[in-house]
Amino acid sequence: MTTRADIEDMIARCALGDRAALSALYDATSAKLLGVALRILQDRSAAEDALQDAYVKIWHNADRYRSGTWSPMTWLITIARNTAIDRKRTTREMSGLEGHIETLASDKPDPEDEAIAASEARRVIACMETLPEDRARAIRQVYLEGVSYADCAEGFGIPLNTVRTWLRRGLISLRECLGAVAS
Amino acid sequence: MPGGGGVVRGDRILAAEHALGLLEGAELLEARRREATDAAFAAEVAAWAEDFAGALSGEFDEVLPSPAVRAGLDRRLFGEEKQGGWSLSGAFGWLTAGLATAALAGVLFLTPFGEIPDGPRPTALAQLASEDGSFRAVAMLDAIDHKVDLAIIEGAPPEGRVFELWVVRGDLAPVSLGVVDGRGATAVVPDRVVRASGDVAFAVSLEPLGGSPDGTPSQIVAVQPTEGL
Repeated sequence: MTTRADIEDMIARCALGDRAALSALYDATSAKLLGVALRILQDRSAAEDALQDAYVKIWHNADRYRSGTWSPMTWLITIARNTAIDRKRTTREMSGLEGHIETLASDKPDPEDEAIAASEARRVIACMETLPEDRARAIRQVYLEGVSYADCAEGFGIPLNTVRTWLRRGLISLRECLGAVAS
Repeated sequence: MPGGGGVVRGDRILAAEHALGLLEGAELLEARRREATDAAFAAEVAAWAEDFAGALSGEFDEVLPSPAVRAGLDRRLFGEEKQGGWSLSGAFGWLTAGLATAALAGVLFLTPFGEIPDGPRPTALAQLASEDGSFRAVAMLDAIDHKVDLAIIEGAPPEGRVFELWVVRGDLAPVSLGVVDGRGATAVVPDRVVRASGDVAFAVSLEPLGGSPDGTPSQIVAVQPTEGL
């Protein structure tokens, strides 16, 4: 099993230009990162293109990874997510397609996803559960599917500014809850 | 866990929106700039990303990519490095190809290159400019550590677009040196470009947010050859 330390080591060696390390990192993480891109883009071919772009960025930015601030999987997932979201927005701008909210799939959390500390995750999940249901659902959709404020506004049938105010309030509540639990 | 000191509540929520990928246009550019220059803000973004990933990333399925992805990645990062022979004609071959595909090809601009010594370290310089003069920048290449610094003197990308810096050498396809954040960029020229032969050119292109979607320059703003490393 690949541990957090293994992945950090691979990233560190990528920063030194070690191709074998990139290969190992790809083996260990590409299935997860493709899952991220696929969930956001909902299209296999676009997701694989985004995945390739993500590893190009990972290779070129490996020297910027800071283990004190980021857990390695979160860092990799963030790069894959941002790459997929950029591609989704760009594609939409270019084709003029309307954004839409996908029905939230009720996938079970992957028990093997050990790179992220379980207690920390439970804490955040518990705080998500204290939010009004629609707000928690919106935050989940934003994270998992990369929906934008415009998508949310359309999905919920309310003005964009209202959506933003409403979602920001949810984020404030979430942060207050996380702060309270931590202290 | 986000720290208390130094980050006000408005910033904290902005960091959350940035971590979620909700920001667009000018707000996104500003958030990226701050993430690169403001350690407290960057830590806040990372903390939110950690929290969201902790709660939700388990829900991303694992899906094996097709072998073509890895092959394409290898090609892009370490692609066939043809040595020698080429020199300037190759670069101009690429530039011509770029012209054919660039929507605003008319902005392509070439002037004689210059190389100036900078103290004990050999430094190559390329002064980039668009034809209409609305964009001007200087790329400085350190021939020892292969670091390139780009400083934009004039011009900014239109709303919702970004500049991206490229290096071109020999018959290698243009290699991205990354999206230009704000007024400049610092990057290291990849080894395969250093090892290749032929003149070096730098180019700046206009791209969608996040950079070129397909790894090639979308719309060239300016390109400028300089002398070999």
